[in-house]
Amino acid sequence: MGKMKLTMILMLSLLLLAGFSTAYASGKTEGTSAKETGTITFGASQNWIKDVDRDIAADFEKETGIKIDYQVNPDDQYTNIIKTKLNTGEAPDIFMWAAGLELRQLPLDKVLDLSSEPWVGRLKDWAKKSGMVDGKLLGLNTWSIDGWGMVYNTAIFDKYSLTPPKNYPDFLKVCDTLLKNGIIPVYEIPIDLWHTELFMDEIAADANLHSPGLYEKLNSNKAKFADVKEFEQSLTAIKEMADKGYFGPTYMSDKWTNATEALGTGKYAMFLGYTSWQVECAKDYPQSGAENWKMFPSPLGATGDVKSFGTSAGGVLQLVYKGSKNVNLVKKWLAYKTQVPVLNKFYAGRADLGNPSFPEVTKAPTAGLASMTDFVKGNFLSDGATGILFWDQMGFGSLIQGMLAGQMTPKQVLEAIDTNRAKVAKAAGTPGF
Amino acid sequence: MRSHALYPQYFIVPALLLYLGLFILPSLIGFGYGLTNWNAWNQNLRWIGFDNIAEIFSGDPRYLLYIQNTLLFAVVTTVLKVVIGLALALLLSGGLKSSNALRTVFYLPAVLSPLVIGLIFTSIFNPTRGLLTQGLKAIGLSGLTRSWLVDLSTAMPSVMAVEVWRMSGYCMVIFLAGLKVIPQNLFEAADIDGASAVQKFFKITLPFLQPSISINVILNLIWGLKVFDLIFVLTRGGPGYATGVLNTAVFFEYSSGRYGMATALGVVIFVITSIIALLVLRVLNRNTVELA
Amino acid sequence: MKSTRVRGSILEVCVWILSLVVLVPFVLVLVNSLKDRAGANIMSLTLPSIFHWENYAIVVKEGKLVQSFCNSLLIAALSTLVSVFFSAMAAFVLSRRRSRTNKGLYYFFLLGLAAPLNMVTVIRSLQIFHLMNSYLGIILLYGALLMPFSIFLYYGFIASVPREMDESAMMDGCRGFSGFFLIVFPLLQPVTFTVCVINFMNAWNEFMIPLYVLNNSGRWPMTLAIYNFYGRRVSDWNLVFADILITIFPVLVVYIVGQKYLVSGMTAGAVKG
Repeated sequence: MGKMKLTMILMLSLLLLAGFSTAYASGKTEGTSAKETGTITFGASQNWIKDVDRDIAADFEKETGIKIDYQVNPDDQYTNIIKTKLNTGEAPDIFMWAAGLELRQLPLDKVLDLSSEPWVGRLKDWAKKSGMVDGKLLGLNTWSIDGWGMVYNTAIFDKYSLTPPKNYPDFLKVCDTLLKNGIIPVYEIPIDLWHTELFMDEIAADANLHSPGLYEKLNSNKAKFADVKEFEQSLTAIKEMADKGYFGPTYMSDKWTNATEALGTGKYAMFLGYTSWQVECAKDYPQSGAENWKMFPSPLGATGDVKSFGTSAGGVLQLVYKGSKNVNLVKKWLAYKTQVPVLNKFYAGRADLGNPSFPEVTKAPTAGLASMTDFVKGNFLSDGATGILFWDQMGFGSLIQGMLAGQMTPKQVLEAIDTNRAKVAKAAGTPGF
Repeated sequence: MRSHALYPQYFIVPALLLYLGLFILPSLIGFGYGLTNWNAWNQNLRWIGFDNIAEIFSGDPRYLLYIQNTLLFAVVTTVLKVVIGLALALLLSGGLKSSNALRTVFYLPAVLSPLVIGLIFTSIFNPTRGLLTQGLKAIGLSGLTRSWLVDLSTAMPSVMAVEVWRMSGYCMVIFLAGLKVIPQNLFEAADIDGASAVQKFFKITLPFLQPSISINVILNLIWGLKVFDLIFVLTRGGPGYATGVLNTAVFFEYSSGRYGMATALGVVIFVITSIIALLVLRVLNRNTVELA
Repeated sequence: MKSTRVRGSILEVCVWILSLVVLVPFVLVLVNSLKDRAGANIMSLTLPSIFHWENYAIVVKEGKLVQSFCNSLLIAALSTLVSVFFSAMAAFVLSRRRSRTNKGLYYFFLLGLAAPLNMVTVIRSLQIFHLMNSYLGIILLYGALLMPFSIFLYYGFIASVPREMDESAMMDGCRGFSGFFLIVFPLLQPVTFTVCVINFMNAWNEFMIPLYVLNNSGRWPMTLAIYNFYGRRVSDWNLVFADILITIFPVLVVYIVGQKYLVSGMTAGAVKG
């Protein structure tokens, strides 16, 4: 027993020494006097860094010797981590953050003002606006502006002589025809909480169109979610679709990851997707003809014909930590990233980004985007999350999931939204709450 | 007198310093934040006293549900884990040929992190394609199948089942170590006296297992009251709020920017947990058996 | 005689059937880690048609698992050592000398089992001691967090070790540290192994704290590597499962090696007397 123990201890200590020395050695390779080269720490949520980003970072390192250390964080924790790190002075040099109103959740005095960077002037208008808070440009946008609409399988529609519906009653008729012919009308994924609330998010644009100033009223507590007809109708519609079987028999556990399969195999006819989603479906299922599919705006909740397409603030930005010790390196990276050939490479590798933030980069609109533009006659307006403060995607989605499980009615969902929202707005010192 | 030399107080110092400096002091100071309006937007903190605590206990049905779920989860899973753990330990200490291998097998689930468990069981609990539903169908019980994690009636039980699955082996390990301490001669003497297995269990085994039972009950109660990762990964506290517990509430308050409120909830959890743990400790340690 | 043996075998078979409840999920992970992407998405128990062993190579390379393995090992092992030694010492004195102060200190340590971790204040603490973003810092932090549990276990079991052992150590002239580590500590072997295994596992599986406390991804433990496959390629479940298996493998080894000693290393002779 003694010898066994001894050998075990020896082995463990050897392993420890090996581990220690490797770990220690690697930890020491940080640039000491990070003047011209060094390492930039880059914080991002798990969903925001793709292969093309790592390729571009490798190119950048080859060209300048500056290394990018991508720190990929779990999606759920990401915002908490960054906020804590900014507050305690330990933030990464660059970090990604959602564009638009969500910027206000950051301690803005810890974010670097990029307004005078050379590439700012070249940004498209929406891209510049998406990164601005109180007149200062805080984030570089290399994403896309997009919205969520009903992508539909044109082949199936043609087969049953269906046309894209303009309003909810027509939409129900379309669903009915599809179901009668053995095709599940819509693929929906309540378990991915952020998706089902998009119906409400999208119809908000229409609601704001019908009652001008609605967004401002909601933002100053002069109106509540429970008062907005379109919101309640969209929730009732969601429940109705589920109950009528229009989401199919397995909707409560269907996931985003199987969406391309659902439509690519022709089992489902429609899906609430963004304008370039069909490209990914075509990639996974080339036989489906998905690249020819078209889109129309979601009519769930509409009080009449749908007249607008709700779009986001502009996706995800890259922001710079004011207290970073590598600001000069970071600026070099931003300058590199905004060069036209690099942008071209980036957008080429991102099939999901259909509307580049710089005009020099052109991308042909997808069939979906073209048909949508046609449908609403170019009327692209801010969706709910972009115009309304404290739009808690996951929180709303969770409540909707509860509604679908029978825990509460649409009205109760909206009341819960209002209660939660008021608490947060009050904490933030929003006037009116 | 002599004991002072043999049991020097300074032995406690290293542990105490580390514990204070990096854990308890920051925690206690952190509690102070629960009495302010600390949030994501204000830079100047304002003292608001017990406003946050008052909000928690104001009778809001959601907070009541959280407290109820927390207690339910802790108690039910602890009881099940201890009973199953004990049963497994008894089974495996009886000298089965493959005891060693079995011991390893039953301990395996405790090794997994909550994220991994969430992934695995989300797939197992899939209402149509998951293993559980398929398994039930295979043995002809398809009437029992549900949307395990989404159906209001099965969401909480499903989550609790995963926790019991995860930690019963852990309890078993503690019980195995405790069983080894029992002197064999007591059993031999009892056999000579013609005692039945049940009698031996209640008169010999159980009393000697006092410390192990104590440890298992208290630890699992505490962890059950503080549960977060498992529930978050399986259901995110949903559908709606159905499986929400106090620690998931802490997370959501923190995410929405209400840091003071999140901290206050943390204090409430701490107080509840401490009180329950101390009470149980008192009750269970009334009859400890000293071997010396 | 024969009937008890038959009974024993039946019992053994039953227990193995029971163990399926535990094994099936693991089999699920193993089987799906060897499938291709589409196959793994279905997450069924069927065997893969082709065994994609290269999944493991991909995971190791792209997840930089060699680096993070060393980090995990270093951090988990050293925090275990710190917590075991500090706790054993403290629990020894607390358990043997139950003065009012010491009883109070014991409960004070137990408070840590219930106390929540406040990341913001802990980060500030680490900053004050210049321990942020360092191996030493996270090791000491884990040590502190593991201490309540370790002390709890040691306290209970020390009570069951007869005081005669300590007295005999004193008579041999060993005092203080040497007395403790040479005579008493070896008697605590079973508990020590339990504590070691459990602490090592907790430290190994921790993924929240490194996110906040280690700013250099070169120092990240294995538990964070999984997020590289999770988001980048939205649904590479086969790679995710392969990563899971690689990550839990070391803890399993520690347990398998440790548990043999856990049961066999008893104070033979000392207790039976």
